[in-house]
Amino acid sequence: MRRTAVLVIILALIWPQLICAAGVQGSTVEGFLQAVIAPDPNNPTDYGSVKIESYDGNLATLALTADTVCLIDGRPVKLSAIRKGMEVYAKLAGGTMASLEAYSTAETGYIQPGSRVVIGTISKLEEDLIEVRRDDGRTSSYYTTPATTISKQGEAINLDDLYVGDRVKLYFDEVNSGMISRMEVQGSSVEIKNVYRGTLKTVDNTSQHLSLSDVEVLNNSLWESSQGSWRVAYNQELPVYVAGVKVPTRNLKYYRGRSVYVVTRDALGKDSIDRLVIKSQYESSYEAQIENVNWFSDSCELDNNKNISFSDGTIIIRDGRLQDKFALTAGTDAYFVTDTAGGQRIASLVNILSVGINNSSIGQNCLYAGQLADVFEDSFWLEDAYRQDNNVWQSVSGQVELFLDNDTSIWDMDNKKQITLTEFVGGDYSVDPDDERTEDLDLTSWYVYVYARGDRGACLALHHEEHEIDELRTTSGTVVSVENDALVGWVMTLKNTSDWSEHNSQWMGKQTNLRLGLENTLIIKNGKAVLPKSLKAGDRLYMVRNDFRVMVVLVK
Amino acid sequence: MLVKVKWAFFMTSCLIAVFLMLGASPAGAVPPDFAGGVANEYKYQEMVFLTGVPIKFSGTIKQTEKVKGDLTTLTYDFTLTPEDKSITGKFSRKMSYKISSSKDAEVGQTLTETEVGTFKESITINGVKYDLKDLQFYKSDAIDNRPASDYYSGSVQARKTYVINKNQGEVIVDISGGDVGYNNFWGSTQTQVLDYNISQTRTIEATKTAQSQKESWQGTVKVTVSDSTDKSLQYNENLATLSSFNGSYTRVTRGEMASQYSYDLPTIIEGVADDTQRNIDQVSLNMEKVPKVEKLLIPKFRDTGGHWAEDYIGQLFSLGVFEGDSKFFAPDAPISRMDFIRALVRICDIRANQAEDKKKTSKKAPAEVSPFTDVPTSSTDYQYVKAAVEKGLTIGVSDSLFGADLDVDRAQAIHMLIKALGFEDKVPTPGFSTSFADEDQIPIWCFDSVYVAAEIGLISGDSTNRLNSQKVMTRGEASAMLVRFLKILQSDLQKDYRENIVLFN
Repeated sequence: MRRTAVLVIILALIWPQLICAAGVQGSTVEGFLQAVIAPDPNNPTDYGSVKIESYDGNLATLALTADTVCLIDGRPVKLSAIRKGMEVYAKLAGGTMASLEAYSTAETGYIQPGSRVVIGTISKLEEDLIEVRRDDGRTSSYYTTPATTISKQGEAINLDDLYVGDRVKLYFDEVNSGMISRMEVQGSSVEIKNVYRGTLKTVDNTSQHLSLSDVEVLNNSLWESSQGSWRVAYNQELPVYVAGVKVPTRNLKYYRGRSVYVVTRDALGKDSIDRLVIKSQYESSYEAQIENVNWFSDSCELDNNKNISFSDGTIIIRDGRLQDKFALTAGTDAYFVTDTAGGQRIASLVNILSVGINNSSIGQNCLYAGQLADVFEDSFWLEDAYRQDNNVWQSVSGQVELFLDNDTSIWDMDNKKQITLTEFVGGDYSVDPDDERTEDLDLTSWYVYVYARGDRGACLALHHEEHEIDELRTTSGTVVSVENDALVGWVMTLKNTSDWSEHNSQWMGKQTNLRLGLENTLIIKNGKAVLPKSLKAGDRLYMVRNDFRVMVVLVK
Repeated sequence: MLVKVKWAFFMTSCLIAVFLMLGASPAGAVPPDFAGGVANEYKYQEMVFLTGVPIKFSGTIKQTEKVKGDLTTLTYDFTLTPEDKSITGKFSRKMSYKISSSKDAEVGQTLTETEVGTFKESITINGVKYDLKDLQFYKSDAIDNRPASDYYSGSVQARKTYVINKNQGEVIVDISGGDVGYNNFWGSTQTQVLDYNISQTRTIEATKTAQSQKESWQGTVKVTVSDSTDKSLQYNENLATLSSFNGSYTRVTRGEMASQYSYDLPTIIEGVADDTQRNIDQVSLNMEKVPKVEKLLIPKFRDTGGHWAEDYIGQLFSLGVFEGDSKFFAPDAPISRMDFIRALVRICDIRANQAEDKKKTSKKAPAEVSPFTDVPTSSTDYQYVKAAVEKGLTIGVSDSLFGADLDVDRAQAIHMLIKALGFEDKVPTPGFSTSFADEDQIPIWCFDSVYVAAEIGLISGDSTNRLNSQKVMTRGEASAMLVRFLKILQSDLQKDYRENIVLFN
């Protein structure tokens, strides 16, 4: 007993010296792991040992015990997982190694570039800021940089092509970064297909289909008879509202026999109801402009002096997309379908008619019309020019310089052909009135419509004849069909059309389909000039026309 | 002799499982073939682009699947005609694919290689016959076998060479792309994204009015096709008032195939291709199967009515996830480790390697011994504990104790659920943080799981954005978390593998 006590005292006295001699400071050893010595399989009391070169250069050999905890980055591991060369921290307690922690990497918080993904719907667009609402309701703001790539169904698009209501996939290169490295945008399936009104006949919760009778479709701000009976799928998480109150989807069957408003989208190749509002009492409809919005009471006042309240259930459509209530702003023109419940007018449906050249406040796009003054290799000048960026043509004082590049689409509309930049620069599209050749050949400078992105001429339509700006109308609509008519050439039929009224500063909805000519028309789709046959049913258009003849079409 | 016959019968029935179905998929959702076609129980549809014009064909498909050890043989037999009756034509294709798999149990992964066995394809459209003369096909998949679900991703490379009217030219279709998918008890989806590059060279025979001419064109088609099945729970109220129960749950199994073809082809004018005028558009196909319905146990607890977690508890009871041996569920009582593990194993439909063990174990082998003294092999819970430990969902609280009666806190529950999903490695390198206000109280061993759980929406903070990771979970709270976990398996995976790929491609 006495011998053991002496031995313990001697060990206790010499142990710190032994440790210090090996380069160990106090009760910890920090440094690089030199070697891992595996336990001797023939010795059950041997748990292996490690050699550590401390940061000051001393070498320590430390034995493990049955209780030694091995960790990498705080996570428990086997000794074999700790490798030679790793930085380690050994904690000693009572003369034995209590724990051995290794650090795996100096690159903390690293993720594989693009491996962090956020999916949601754009709720706000402002310069380089994109606010996205995820499916679980969380809303976060992210930022684009000049290096951010944006694509829509495999095609590169620009930031100003985005709409509020677009569904996006955002990819990030860093774990806590708000900078988007790559963005994918859902294709045309994000757009609504139609708005219907009908009587709810059956609801099948199992197959997620419902059937309607006396079905009418909303066209040209009118309910037009569509079909007597219709079975259609509905979204698994279909929001159902009645008089602004949310109803569980499984209770929809109790509303059989009631009128409903439904919005359909293409869901993987089939029509599917995305939103549904049950009519509560009496329907009214108005086409009006919002004068002001009261966000405290969720209501708005229209220019016809009607007060209308809205709810989370109100179907709000803008730019062909379902949007939230913040799309309702003063000055917005819309078609309202309301429900009278408890003496209050609640909006069941708001179809916003307002549309512009730009998809959001980010866009710097506009149209110019004028006569060519000068053409150079990389720019051209317009005189007597007009500019249109808010539905109204406004005269521009002096000359306007716009820039050209190899990607500029230039069309000679009189000769119905696309020309190269060289042909444009070298041709007689812009002439010097004092030049002898001009006089000899009786040449005059051509007129041009320009679709400009900032000060860059993206698409040019050249024509020799002067068009009266006062006779031009700004119109919006959705393509029903496009055909090459034997008599008048390419024509299109549009529905849900509106004309901009300068007098009223308001979009005025038409109640009939519109047939318009596309001969000698500059048609711009995805920023490029295209032929009439590229227009497809369902395309939403913004255009400048002179009665039947369309001058410029912008596919939205 | 009788023994031989019996043995042959035994071998046939044990080693070769044969399924003969009309218009149905093999086990797990897989689109038929690699042509973007969709099917339901009765009908099959596919777009054909060989003429340069998209033509929709429809008809029937017969599929068989034979499994023999690590080799699976898939056969398809298509008989189709054009849907547009103004087009005369017929379509016949017979394919067989051999899929060999090798499983690495140590890392929990399986690699598969798919090769073409036999092929025969003949398409006639308006009198022009396209015969498939050569098919080169390579496909390989890597499958990550995780406790609650398998996830996989593969690559496809192929070339089909058709001869036109025996000697008038050929159409070559180069196919590249891949597939992604998952397969679990609650759902299965496979989405293929394939690019077709089509090039045709053909001599058009002279007619009375036109001379013989050579025609060539090229086009591309992007095909995105997805086959998906999912199981979900649906509550049905009892129509009768004088009944012993108010309502019950039904498990509904739905199946749907959807495809989208985005094509860029020449314009065909009077049978001749103009390669400079392009026909660019999209076409979609969709087919749904009739949902299968299965009635589940009727929840009749007396203490869950009006409780915020009533619906969650009802769903889990109906599924047999929770025991119903008492009229009281005790939703506000803490949940024990054993109850949570049992529920998780049942939800994931995880089974211990019992069957294999029995086969391998001879009568003389020593009886199985539980590693945990508090869960002996005689316990009815032993198989759940064994399955959970085998799959790495949990370990005991010590070398010899499982801690069956101990309470489960939120950290433990989150850790087990993320392990079950197999997402525990989807974290940044160490040194990252979570968004929770009480992050410093999250135990280090479940920090990764908490990060992943928050990213996938399994958990969220309370009103002050605290996780409360060390708070003991009540049975009601555990029910809510398990139902959210179930929703990930049922619908979140489906949306990620189908909508988020098809609609963005």
